[in-house]
Amino acid sequence: MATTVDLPTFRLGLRMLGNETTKGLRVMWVHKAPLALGLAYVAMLYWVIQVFIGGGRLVGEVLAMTFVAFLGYVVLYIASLRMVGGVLEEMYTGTLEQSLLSPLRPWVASTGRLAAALVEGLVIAAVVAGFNLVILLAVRGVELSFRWSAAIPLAVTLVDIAGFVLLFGGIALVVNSIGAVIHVVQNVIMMLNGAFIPVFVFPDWLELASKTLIPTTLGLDATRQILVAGAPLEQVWSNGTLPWAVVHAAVSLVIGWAAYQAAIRRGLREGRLGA
Amino acid sequence: MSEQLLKPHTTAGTAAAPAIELRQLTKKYGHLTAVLDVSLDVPAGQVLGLLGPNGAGKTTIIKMMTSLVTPTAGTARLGGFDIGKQRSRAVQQIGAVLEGSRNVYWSLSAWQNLLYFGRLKGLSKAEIRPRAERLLRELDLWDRRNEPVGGFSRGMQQKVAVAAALVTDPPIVLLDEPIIGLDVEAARTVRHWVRRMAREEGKTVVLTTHQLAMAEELADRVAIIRDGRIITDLPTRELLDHYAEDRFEIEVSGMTTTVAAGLGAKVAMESANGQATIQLPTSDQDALHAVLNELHHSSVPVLRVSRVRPSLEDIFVSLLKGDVGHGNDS
Repeated sequence: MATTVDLPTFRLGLRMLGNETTKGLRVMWVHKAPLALGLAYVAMLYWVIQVFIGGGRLVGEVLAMTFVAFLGYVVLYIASLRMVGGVLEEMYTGTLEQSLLSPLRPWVASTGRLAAALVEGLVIAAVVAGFNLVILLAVRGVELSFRWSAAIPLAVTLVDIAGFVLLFGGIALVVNSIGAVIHVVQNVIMMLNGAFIPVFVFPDWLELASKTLIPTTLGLDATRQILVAGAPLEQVWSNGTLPWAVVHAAVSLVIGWAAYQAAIRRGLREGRLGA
Repeated sequence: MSEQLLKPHTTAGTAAAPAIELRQLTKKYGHLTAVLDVSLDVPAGQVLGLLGPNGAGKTTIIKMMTSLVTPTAGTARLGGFDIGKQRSRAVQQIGAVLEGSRNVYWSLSAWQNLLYFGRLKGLSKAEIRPRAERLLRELDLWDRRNEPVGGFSRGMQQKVAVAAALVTDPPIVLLDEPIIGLDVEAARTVRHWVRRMAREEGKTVVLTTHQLAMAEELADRVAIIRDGRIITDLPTRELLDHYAEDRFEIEVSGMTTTVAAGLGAKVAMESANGQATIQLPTSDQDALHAVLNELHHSSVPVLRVSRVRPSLEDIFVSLLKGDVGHGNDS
């Protein structure tokens, strides 16, 4: 006889969410060699570009203003790469279909997949942060103080990233050649989200464009104001940075979520999710 | 032939609900109709062989049964649960090994795969562990349970896929080309497991395969699909009995065209390498005697006379060619 699971849906959902996340992290660990290479690449990229921007030297003020923004980019870079790569690989190998043979709705599996990608991005960002902090301590003029209130815009940024990751995961389900496009998009984000140059030094039109169109920009700008400029949370809220960051993250999540679910439905309709 | 024999087998009128009920299942991709009006009832414990050439619609039917392809029309019920309306319950009734797919994660170990797929269906680790251990031991994978599946042979990988499909002990097992690409030994193991699932554990099995000998060996019933439609659906024995009219085969050597012409048009003959095989229906004893007399008078050496029963493969090929009638296209 089959085992019929009568767990409450919420508890079952949590179990399956954990299952999907664990699988993602296990697969990540198996692929640790390419992961280490990716890690080295993103860590070095920051310093090389900072030296370039500084005209051959590291500028403490710029480092302080871009440090957290770069980490935000690392999370986005790794999470989106894992999501798109994972979706494509699982479509080609057929495990995506098997992972949908679950009593819960496909959105639970996609949430687990997203969670695994974000956790992976956060782990890598933490390693990069540790490495970068060691170098930062050796550079004069870096003034960066930790404040708990920065956790709020960082959380908002993570939601913003989640929406972006889901959007590109959904596109990968429909457009299998998305692999090349994602790298171009990631590079544009890296140049415009404040990871290398603070957005307030951009021309007005470019600053507006990056805050409107580029994920993470608003949340990371709010974080910069708290950690570097010492602004209290109320100020970041009242000057409009944080509210707009929240709106941006919410819109991003809704669009990403809708795009991913629509792509799954289309895949099921057209029988395109399998090998 | 009897029209009744050619209609889809159903359990209408029996007390027990069928394990699988398909009603007018249809799938269209734009103008292309992949599956059209497929209706089937599969009673619990039956092994159904779903046969058909490439592109006939077998895999699409399996995927509609698993909710991996959304039907254009029609319904599928598994264990009484509608896959469209009660997907959660329906999916818990099935384990599936899909065609052309790895089915399991090659970068994970066999043990991790079984834990993952067990939890995917909602089971706890405590529930999965004893089942996973039993399956891996019985499939001779226990000693290598912690190795990545990617390092296994094709046969071992398929065994892990079968184990993953069975880890929740589902009453319905869907096997889409389960032995394709396997060596003889691995194919034998999978065949053994299919037989065991059905005979000893009472599972309902739907098996699609190109290996007609496998279907003949394992399937209680065979449905043959062509162009998305079921053209024949009969118990295997009945299908063999119905279509497989026994025939006499006479093997001779030194057949000449003159002698062949003298045997008459009613005789089917194939020749190669100086030998010929003459085929006659067993119902026509007079023709047999006449042919043997003609061969005797012409001094053609007879090598063998035997009564032959056509295989499922012969019937399958004949049905697809349209050599024998089939009547349920309507």
